[in-house]
Amino acid sequence: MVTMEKLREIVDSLQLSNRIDGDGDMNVVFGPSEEFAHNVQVWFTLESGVRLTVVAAARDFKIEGNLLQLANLYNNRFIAPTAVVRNGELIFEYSFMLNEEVSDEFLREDIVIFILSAISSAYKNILSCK
Amino acid sequence: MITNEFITECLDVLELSYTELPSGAIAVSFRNDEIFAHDIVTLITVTSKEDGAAIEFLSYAFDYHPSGDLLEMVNRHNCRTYMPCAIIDADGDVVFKRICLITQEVNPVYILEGVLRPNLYFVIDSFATFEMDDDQLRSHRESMESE
Repeated sequence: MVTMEKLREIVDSLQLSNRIDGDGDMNVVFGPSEEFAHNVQVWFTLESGVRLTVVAAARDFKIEGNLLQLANLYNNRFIAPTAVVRNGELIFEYSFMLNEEVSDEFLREDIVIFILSAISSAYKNILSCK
Repeated sequence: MITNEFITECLDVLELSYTELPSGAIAVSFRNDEIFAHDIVTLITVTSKEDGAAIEFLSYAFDYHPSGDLLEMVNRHNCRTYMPCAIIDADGDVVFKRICLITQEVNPVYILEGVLRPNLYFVIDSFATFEMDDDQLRSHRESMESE
C-alpha cells in the first residue's frame, strides 16, 4: 500500500523541501523560477491509501480575464493537472487511483515526478492559453 | 508493453462490449436509460513508444446538449469530481477526458482496476450527475448508498 512516508521519501530524493502537516498531508513548495515568478504550494493528500490527490495553488498570483474560459482552454490542451476555479481562485488538481499494488519505480516516475513536472509547467501553460 | 490487445483483453474481463476502429481507437459503448438516457461512447487510444505508453480516454454522449452555463457546469464537475476531467470541446460539446502516462513496468491488475475500470465507470456517473447541483448530487449519492 502507498503511504505518505513512501511519497515523502521520493520527494526527499528529489531534494524538494517539504513538510507533513497535522492532517498527515504533505506540503511541497516550488519557489519562484524564470518561468513563473511566484511560490507554488503543492499538497499531497492520501485518502484511505487508495486515492492520491494533488492540489497546487499560487496564492499571490492573480490572472486577469474569464477564469472559467481559461481553465477550459487549458484543460482542452493539456493532460494534467486539471485547472479549476474555486472561490474565484485558479488552482490545479489531480487524482490517482492507487487501489492496486504499484512498483516503487512507477510511483516515483509515473505518479510523483509526472505530477510535479506537470504542476511546475501548469502556470506557464495556462498563461499560454490567454 | 501496453497494446490494444492488452486493453481489449481487459475489456473482456470487465465484460464490456467494444469496437476496434480503423483509426486504432477502441470504442466502448454504454446505454442504460435508468442512469442516463443517451448513448455514451468512450474512445480509448493507446500510443506506445519505446519510453512508455499513453492511454487516452475521451467520452462523448450522443445528442446530449445540457442547458445552462456550460463553463460553470464543467468547472463544478471538475471541482467535485477529480476524475475524469470535463471539458467543452471545440464543437461546444461536453466531453470527459483523461490521459494516463505509463513509462514504468506496472502490474496488469493496476491497469485493469486503477486505470481502465475507474476511467470507464466514472464516466457514466459523470454524465448522469453533470447537471445536478450540489444538493441534488448529495440526495442522489444518499439514495444510491441506501439501495
